[in-house]
Amino acid sequence: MLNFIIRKLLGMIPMLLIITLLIYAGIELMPGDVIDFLIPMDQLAEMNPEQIAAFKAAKGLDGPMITRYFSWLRGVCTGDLGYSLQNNMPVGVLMLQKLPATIELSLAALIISSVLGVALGLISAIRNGKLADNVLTVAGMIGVAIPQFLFGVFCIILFCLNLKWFPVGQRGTAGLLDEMHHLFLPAFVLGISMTAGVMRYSRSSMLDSMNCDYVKTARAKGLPEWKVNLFHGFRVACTPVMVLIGFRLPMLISGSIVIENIFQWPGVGKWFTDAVKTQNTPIIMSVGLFMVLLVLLSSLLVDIMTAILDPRVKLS
Amino acid sequence: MSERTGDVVLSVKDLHVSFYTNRRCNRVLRGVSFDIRRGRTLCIVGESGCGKSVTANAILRLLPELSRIEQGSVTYWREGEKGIRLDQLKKNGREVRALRGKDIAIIFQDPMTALNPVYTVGKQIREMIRQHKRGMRRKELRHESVQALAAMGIPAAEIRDGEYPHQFSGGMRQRAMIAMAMSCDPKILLADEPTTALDVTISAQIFELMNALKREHGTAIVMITHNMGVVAEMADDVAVMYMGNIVEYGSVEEVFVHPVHPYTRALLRSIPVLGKGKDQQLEPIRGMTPDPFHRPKGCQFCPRCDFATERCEKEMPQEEWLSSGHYARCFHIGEGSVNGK
Amino acid sequence: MKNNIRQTALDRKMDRIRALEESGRLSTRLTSRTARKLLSNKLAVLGAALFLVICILCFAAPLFTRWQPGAISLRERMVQPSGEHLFGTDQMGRDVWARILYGGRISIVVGLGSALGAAVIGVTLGMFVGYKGGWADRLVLKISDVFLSFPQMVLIIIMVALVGQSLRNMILIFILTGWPSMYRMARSKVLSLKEAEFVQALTAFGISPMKIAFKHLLPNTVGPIVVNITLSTAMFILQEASLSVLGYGVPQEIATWGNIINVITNAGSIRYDWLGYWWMWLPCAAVLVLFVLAINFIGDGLRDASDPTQIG
Repeated sequence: MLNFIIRKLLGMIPMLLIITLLIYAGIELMPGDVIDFLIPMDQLAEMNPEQIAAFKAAKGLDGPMITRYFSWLRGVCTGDLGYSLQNNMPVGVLMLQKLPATIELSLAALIISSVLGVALGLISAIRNGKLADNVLTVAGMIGVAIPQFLFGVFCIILFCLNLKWFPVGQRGTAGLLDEMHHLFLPAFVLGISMTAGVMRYSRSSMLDSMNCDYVKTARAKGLPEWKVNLFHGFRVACTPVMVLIGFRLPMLISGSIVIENIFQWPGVGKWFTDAVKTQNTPIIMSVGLFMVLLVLLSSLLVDIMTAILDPRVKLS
Repeated sequence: MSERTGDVVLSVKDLHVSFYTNRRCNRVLRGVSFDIRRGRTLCIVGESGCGKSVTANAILRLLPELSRIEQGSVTYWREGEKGIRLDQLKKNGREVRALRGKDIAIIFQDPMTALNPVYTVGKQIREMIRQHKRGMRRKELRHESVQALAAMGIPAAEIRDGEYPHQFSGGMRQRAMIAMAMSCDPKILLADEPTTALDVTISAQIFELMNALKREHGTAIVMITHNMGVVAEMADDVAVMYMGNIVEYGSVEEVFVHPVHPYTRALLRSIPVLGKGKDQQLEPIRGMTPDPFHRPKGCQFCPRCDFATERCEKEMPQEEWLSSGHYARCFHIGEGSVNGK
Repeated sequence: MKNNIRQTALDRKMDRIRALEESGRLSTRLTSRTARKLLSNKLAVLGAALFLVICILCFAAPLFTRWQPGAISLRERMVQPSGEHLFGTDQMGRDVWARILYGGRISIVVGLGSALGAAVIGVTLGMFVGYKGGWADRLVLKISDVFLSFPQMVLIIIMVALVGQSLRNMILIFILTGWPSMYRMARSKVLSLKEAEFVQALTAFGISPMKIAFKHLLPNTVGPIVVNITLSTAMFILQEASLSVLGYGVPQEIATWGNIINVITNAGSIRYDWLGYWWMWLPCAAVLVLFVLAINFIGDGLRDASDPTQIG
């Protein structure tokens, strides 16, 4: 097991190098000069070329791309993610400020979508072809078809602006209750909008499993239906569902980009879109690195989870 | 409800089963009757799609969702008790579940898929024992499952008990399935083509095992097969099925030595007999099995039968009793028979 | 001897089918099982009808509205729906109905075009390179790995920032981010078919790998490919709308469904009274949801119909 994990982790390194180099090269190609975003227009107009060059040198913006990439990489290896080009704050520190907000939101949404999705999927599969199944299936399809942002904005207009049940945007600061109050609506919107996918997948996995012979064997043993469904049908269907949820971990952070923007949630997603707009390379790079790392780690997690859930799978 | 006669443990009377898939009604069983006796093996033989497996599943009420028993009865006789009408019990209800595994056990065709891949073999056997014998301690349970495996001739049962199905070979898995089926000492064992997925030498071992069970426990065995060789080797009684009917039923001697139904006779002529040498004349049955949605109106075998007459085309023959334990569904019993019974 | 158990709805349905069967009225007229299953799937038929209606409305837009989507009329801003303006006008006095129809053209072209483009690239690579194997296969696999290591939204945003916002770029970016999953699906399908006996027989006959890949393998993978294209179309349409809200979509001045709905975020600030101005966003949102729903219904119907293990 440990051997496998170490081997996988080492295997990620070349991937990470290639990907970061690609992003770095990409950002180089972005139209416009970073300098435009760093110095207010009126000041920039008064500066002479030497001053601009000096400014660039101070920020590490001169020199060929490849050397800048490697200096960034060296920094990353020593835990230095660079400085935000806008306010000179260390990116690492900023990241640590933004991350809790995103993790809080994503985790809540993940829990909502997984619990609700799996439960509804199971009900749907067990009641296959009956009224409950048809209602859930159609509801699930409508759920997939409604854009996340539309649902979010609609909830804000209705619950925050008109009914005033929830505060508009931002994260709570005054104690746990306030935090929950702020968290509820965005987490609910993100969670519900992801539920439909989990539900449909759980349903089809469960149906596949329920069609297998071992379910018939279980019935032939005289087990009650709930045991047949839970210990045989669901126990086997569990593996693919866990795989789906595992692969969704990174999607939650990227999926929260839209929700964070709409709810003015001070997390990584909002920070990232703002950074792209201002060409704040160190931030884009760091978030990019973080996202890719997350994808690779969750695929590792999925491998481990499958091996634990399914005795036929060997890690190698 | 008929009274129990002799050592009959289960009697099936005029069983009709239909499947309702694809928005069609497929009448799979069209009046099947037979008795299962203590300590005897009944072989149900027929080509694929004739309804053999459906019969076995119908007895235990294990039919799929989109199917139902239309009419007829399945009665189980427990020693010294009134008969239990299995067909009238609630599907997957408490009463049926109390019988499943405990009184009537079933073995499926493919041991590869019939065991749950995520549990150890021992756990799956213990699950069955725990369901029917309450209040056993963990240690006792484990002892029981190891014993069950060992009794089926699985070497190193202590270790095998803790292994997963994918670590077992095909033959061993089928042994484990039989061990599971026998773990609660059932009165009836339904074996649905138990050796189709196995090779010949392994099959012979499995059959030997089942014969031993019959001798030692007096278990009634229903063996479903498409292999006449298996019938000759295992059966005390034979039921030959064709397109949802038992066309001939009787003891193995009667059916094999004096077959009366044209289908049985054709079937027997179409397979080689061991020891008769290489000059045997084998005659395949002409024609094809009809599509279940375009069945012949009368006798189902009519289009392929050499003796078919106008009456056969229009009317389904009833069960014609030749002796106390031998019947056939044919209007032309005895015609053209070699022995002229 | 009827069972005296309570008659359930299922039982009654079975009785009906049985009565029909016995009267001999149930006969199979349509020979194609796939077509029959598709047609008997009410949701799929409904989806196809909706899809057609919306497509016709959008692509024959001038027949259904006399307004131009970009015609600004500052005197008629945020006018309520009336006979003149079916769904009223927006903040710039543009007719909302006209914008929905003309915007639909763009949204549908973006969605369908991107899905088709991604499918062509992905399937060609998966079929050809995947079947031949070797270093080219490993290379393409690694490239798709790189693409798939990004959450799709992140990748799209970075790319939009790179190449700038325009209609053409949007489609190109969708194709570029969409092909790897198509490629993976086609490749895995080809690899499993490669082991199939009929392919081995063809190889043994000495038929060229190219011919096997396109003449024999492609038809066998058409089902999942078509399903994937429909579902991707829906996904791209939704993504276009999301990107509009983030400010990375098709340029604001071009009417698309995303840009029309985007009025509710009104450049970042959401107003409490948007429920009162429902005509500016709700009809368009409804059309978008209906269209995506229709495509998903079709896709699901196709998947069930082309899956031989499913009984319909």
